This record gives sequence, structure tokens and C-alpha cells, in this order.
Amino acid sequence: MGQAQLEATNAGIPHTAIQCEHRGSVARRMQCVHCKGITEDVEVDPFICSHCGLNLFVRDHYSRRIAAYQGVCIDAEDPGNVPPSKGIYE
Amino acid sequence: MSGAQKIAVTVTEIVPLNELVTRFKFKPTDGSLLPTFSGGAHTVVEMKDGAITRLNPYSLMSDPMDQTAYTISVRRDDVGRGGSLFLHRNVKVGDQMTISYPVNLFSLDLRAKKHLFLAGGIGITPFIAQIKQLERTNGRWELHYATRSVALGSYVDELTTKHPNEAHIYYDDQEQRIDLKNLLDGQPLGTHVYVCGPKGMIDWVRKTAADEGWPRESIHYEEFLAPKSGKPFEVKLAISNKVIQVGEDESLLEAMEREGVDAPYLCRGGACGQCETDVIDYRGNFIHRDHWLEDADHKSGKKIMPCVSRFEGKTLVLDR
Repeated sequence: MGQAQLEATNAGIPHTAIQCEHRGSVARRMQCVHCKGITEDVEVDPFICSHCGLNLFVRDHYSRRIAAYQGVCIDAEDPGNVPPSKGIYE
Repeated sequence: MSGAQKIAVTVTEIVPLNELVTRFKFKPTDGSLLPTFSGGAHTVVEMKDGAITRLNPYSLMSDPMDQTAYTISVRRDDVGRGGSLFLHRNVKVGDQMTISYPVNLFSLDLRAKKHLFLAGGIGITPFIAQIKQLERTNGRWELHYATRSVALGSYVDELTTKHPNEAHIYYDDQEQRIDLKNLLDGQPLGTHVYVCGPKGMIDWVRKTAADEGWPRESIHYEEFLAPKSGKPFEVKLAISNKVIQVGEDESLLEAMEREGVDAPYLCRGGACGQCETDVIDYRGNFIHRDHWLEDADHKSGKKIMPCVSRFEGKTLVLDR
């Protein structure tokens, strides 16, 4: 849905002029802020970046420009100290 | 202290353009560099006119990246309250003045695929800076500029010489009119419209665009209102614990400032929303003139914009 909206805004339609209604999976499209790689269909938090392998925390910060949520390294200060993953909306 | 940060400047050039419009150039008095700005920004110019301090907003029209000087163009308003007359008559090259940091309430939406500028009269000034900004970045734009006559067409020559394909001029006295409906109809998807000019023109553009199905977010407008004179009235300021009189020729905001009350402001023209003030109690009628509050707010009797709006009646108590 976000990617469809991005196509429309790239064509010049303001995002406020597009009506969206969500159905189906609540999995998120995530962008790793460190390597900028996109991991599709993320259902758990934290998760492992499919590009650089960092443990990423699923943030609610959404980018309309990238059509993805932001993933930030969760164990940067204390490598390896990663809480067990659970569903994003649990 | 309310308002944007101040800059001490010296007037370095005054150029009369025609019967009504004069251009002023300001350089920092201490020789430092001015901040860059974005096209559409204005500065508030402080004028010490005898006992009165006038603070009027003017659009910056110099190149936004030029940090050595700012220029503004001022249209003389013979029936206004005197700010433009003061600049035209009293200000000389070499004078030291105070202006504010640039504030932009009319910025370009850089997500636009194309910028369509509609100017009426002195409303051309913000577009001159925006055009300079877009020329640096290869932005796509088009200008339609309505002015009264050839003699009063400020910057027409400069615009049509530099941008023969983008600048379109319409002279009122030759019965030339912007064919707005057709113009809007022919725009590519992703065009943003910007209008600056008299209130009637802004209303016409907003209404025509809305009727043609344009999204509200794609229509940008700016009109600075000058405060209007009116009947004197009395105001009680609850927080400052003062009762003040607003004179015939001053605004409520100016009266508060005269009494030493530090009331917030930025544009002083009913556009920015900075001076919004809660009404605690009133008996009488508001004369709302701002572009900021919604109609429902105007009717509610709970809010007022002291920079341009007035009051007629017995009691007005403000949360200030």
C-alpha cells in the first residue's frame, strides 16, 4: 500500500489526496538506517537486517518517501544483548 | 522579546521604479554576512516614526543565496497607516535601520513537478526571489503577472528579458486578463500554484482551483494585511493585569507593545498565527480580519489575532 502510494506521489499526486484502507497482513517493510537495505514482510521485533545482519529494533517512524518503516540497531552499546523477538503488535 | 531575531542594517540604495514602487537595499551595518533565506520569505522592517514604532512585513526579493544584501520593494499606500509613506519619504541612503531575520510563510513546495506563479501588482516581489532560487536548481516554473499598466509594471522588463518563455504579463488597462480556468486545465500532474496579490485575486484563484478539483495542498497564497484603523476600544489584559486603550490608528498588538506587554508576533499581517490570543470574556462584537483562524473560531468569541483584528463593545478581557 505504501509503495502504491509512493508511485502516486512520485507522479505528482499529494499524499493527502490519496485514500487508503488497510487490509490483510500487518507485516512491515523495513529500512535499515545503517546500511539502507530494505527487508520486506517483517512480522517480529527485533529482527535481523537481511542485508547487513544487524539486530534491528522496529520503530513506528514511517517514511512516505521510502515507503518503509525505520529499523535501528538495538544492541549497539552492548553487542549481543538482544531481547527475544515478539510480534510487532503484541 | 517577541518576533524573530533582529539585524542592524544600513540603507545602501534606494531606487524608485515607478510612480508607486520604490526598491530599498539593506546591508548589515557591522559588515557581516546576512543569513541566506528561501524564496517567499519576508522581513519585518522597524520604522521609528516619531513616537510611533512601525513594524511592517515586506517580501525579500533579492537572490536567496546572496548574503551581502537584502532588497525589498515597497508600494506607496497613500491611504494606509503610514509605514510605506514613511519608507518612501523619510528613509535616505545611509540611514541605519533594524530588520528581522527572514521568516517564510510562503515557501516553495519542492515536491512539486512544476511551480505556477500568479502575481497581482506588488505581489510580484516574493516570486522574484523564488524564481532566482528555482533558476539555481533548474526548477520548472511559469509566471502569470497581472499589473495595472505598462507604467506601473514593476520588474516586467527584467522578467520578460531574462525569461521570455516563462514570464507572461497582463495589463489591466488593456483589458488583458489571466485565463485561469484554461491555464489550470493545461498544467501537468504535480503542479503547485502560488498566488500573491490583492485579496480578490487570491479568493478567485483559490475558488477556481477548488472548483476545478485541485487538491487544497497544491494551492499556496500569501497576502499581508495592513492593520486597519477603527473605533478606539478598551481591553483588559488578565495576565499583565493592565487595562489598555487601543487608539483609532493603532492595532491591538501595537497598543499592547506600547504598554510594555511582550506579546508574541511574527508576520503582523494576519497570516502566521503567532499572535493568536485567547479571549476570557467579552461583551460586544469582534472585527476579525485575519487569514489564520477558521470561521468557527471567529464565531466562537474565544480567539482573536491582535495584529489585524479589532473589537467594538463594552468589555474585552484577553489571556495576555
